[in-house]
Amino acid sequence: MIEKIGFPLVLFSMLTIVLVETGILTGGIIITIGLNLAMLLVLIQIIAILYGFTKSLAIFNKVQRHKLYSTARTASIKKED
Amino acid sequence: MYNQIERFTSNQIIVHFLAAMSLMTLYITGIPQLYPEHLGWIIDLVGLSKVMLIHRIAGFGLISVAVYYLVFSIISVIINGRRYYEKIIFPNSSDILDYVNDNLSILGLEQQRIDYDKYSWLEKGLIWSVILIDCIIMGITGIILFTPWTFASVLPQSTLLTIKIIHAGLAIVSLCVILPHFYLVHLSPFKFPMSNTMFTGTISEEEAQEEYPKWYREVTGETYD
Repeated sequence: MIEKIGFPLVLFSMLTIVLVETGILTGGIIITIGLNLAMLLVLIQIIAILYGFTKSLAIFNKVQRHKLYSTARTASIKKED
Repeated sequence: MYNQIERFTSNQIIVHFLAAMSLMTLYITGIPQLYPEHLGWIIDLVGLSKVMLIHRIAGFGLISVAVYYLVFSIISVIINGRRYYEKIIFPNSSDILDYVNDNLSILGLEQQRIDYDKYSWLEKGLIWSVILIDCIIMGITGIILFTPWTFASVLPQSTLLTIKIIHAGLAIVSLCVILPHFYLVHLSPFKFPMSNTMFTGTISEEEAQEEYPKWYREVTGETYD
């Protein structure tokens, strides 16, 4: 579901930033929601980056332990299964 | 036959991680200072002095990563020649053509022609906005605002205030550039919940063929039918 509302969410938060920065609309609940949504998206990004980097460190660890380990080959085996 | 292609080096993965973490921390700690009436709770939660400290540490982190990557790129150009960077990083005539074509296709005036090289015009635009806005302009204005008393003898007060406005304004521009990037790699129906390419360094052949056909043909040696 979130992938269907992802575009409007990002657009809404960007639009509120533009509205508040240009001075068209500086207060109100809509601006507060939009700005907090932008911060929430940034926070989710931090979590995603940490998760992704942990994953890449796990791959690096596997490569160090098994010299023939390759993500490409693992993905290929998974697909064959 | 493996169906994954190497897209990013481990160096790029680490640089992306550090730069992204610094940038996100800068947004979280910087934007609430611009809109305290809407986002003041973030400052209240941590405390203004701690928020400022974290902001400065993150800024130092971003500048350090930028300097490291600049030095790395210069050494790389000296060793490998500048052909790679000219071809991959700098915008060229085909990027301008792709940009015009993509915009015309959005307006329904032309059929979309996706024949991107390793990096599309959008990705090149993003990296250059990070280099120019976040690293150079924000870095310089951030250093001046970090120790304004050092520059007070050289710069008049009006200039310092202008620098503060530039720093705040470009932070908003920078956030408005990163949010669409967030959509493209996380919330887009094709990538949801997240694209792992930037972390594993590999991309599937199907994805490469669909999104970067020109680069795919170059990598695989495939020719036009």
